[in-house]
Amino acid sequence: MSGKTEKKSDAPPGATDRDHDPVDEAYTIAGGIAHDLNTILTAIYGYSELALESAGDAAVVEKYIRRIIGAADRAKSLTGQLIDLSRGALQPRQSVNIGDILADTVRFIRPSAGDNITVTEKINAPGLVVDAVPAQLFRLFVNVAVNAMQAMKEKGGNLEISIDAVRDSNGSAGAPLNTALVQFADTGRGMDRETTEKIFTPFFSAGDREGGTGLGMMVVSAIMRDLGGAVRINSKPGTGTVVGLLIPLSGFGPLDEKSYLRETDR
Amino acid sequence: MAGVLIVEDDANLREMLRDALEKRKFTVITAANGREAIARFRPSVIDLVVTDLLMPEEDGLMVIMKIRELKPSVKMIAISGGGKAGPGSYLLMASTLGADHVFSKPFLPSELVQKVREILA
Repeated sequence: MSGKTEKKSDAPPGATDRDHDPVDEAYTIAGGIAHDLNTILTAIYGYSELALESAGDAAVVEKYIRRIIGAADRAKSLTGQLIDLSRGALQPRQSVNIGDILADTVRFIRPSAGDNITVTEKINAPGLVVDAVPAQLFRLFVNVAVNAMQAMKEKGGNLEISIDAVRDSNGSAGAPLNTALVQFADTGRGMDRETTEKIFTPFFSAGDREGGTGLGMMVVSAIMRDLGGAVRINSKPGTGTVVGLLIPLSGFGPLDEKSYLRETDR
Repeated sequence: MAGVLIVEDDANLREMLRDALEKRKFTVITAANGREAIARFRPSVIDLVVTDLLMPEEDGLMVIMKIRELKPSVKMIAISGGGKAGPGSYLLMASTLGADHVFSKPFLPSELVQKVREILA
């Protein structure tokens, strides 16, 4: 599928909405955490009770205890997402080379890609610097990459991550490139429009909830708002998904709420 | 033995509920979302549906409505961890739609099994 961005009169599905109420968002996040933790707790209580009932069968008890650990790992991942999210408020921003964080991300995710998924990097614009908290940027890239890999889990495929320098829609042809475009293009199962519109909703999952926290893309949305950026999603069922993260370069202000890029601008 | 359809998008929890019910000799079919549940529902096999409410594809409220159309006598238990619409409110909607019982997560599998037996008695 094509990763190009096109001129549209409105923001495409999945675009981040920067006109939001932080109190509403806090309630939504709290509801999402409660929902996910209650689900995890049900699994932990349940497998504990089943293990107690199976006390005479060591193999069965071991199976249940491993599943309890699996559920606890998910809870750990959930709190990890929240801690990374809170770092944006707790730590000062600094000038960060996007390529360095992306290299860390690829090193981190590659071992879990398995034999049937390849991860390739295409740094078309090296040395781009943005104002961010490094841990937040890392979490942002990891969450998008993990989602892409989950979409290719059954059939395998390729995740291509690219970095380009672009200018937002307000920039004339001669204006400086003011935005980093970090694009994650997978060849996975893709999503229909209805699913794409829901992916920033807490505890919504585009696939089977196995190992995920249900907060990944909501965290992506929150971090992108914090960075003054925008997310563009282009997806087609059966073909794949391209997630484009538009992040203002250091020294430039936040992107317009409905900024977009035209192919000719690139 | 009675047949139960479990509809839950969390894989770990879905398998736990399957184990708990199969251990008590129920015939169990599972589904990861509402659309899958409706596709896998077999009126001749399933006597009771245990469905989560917040799920991708068709949600649990749609499961209750659509499966009731396929088999009006089927029994329904709704389960939910709360969330966007506030604690309990989705469960209230499930009750309004005719769920025979609702459980707020977390709950113990023994509580669910006991309720399944009561409802099917």
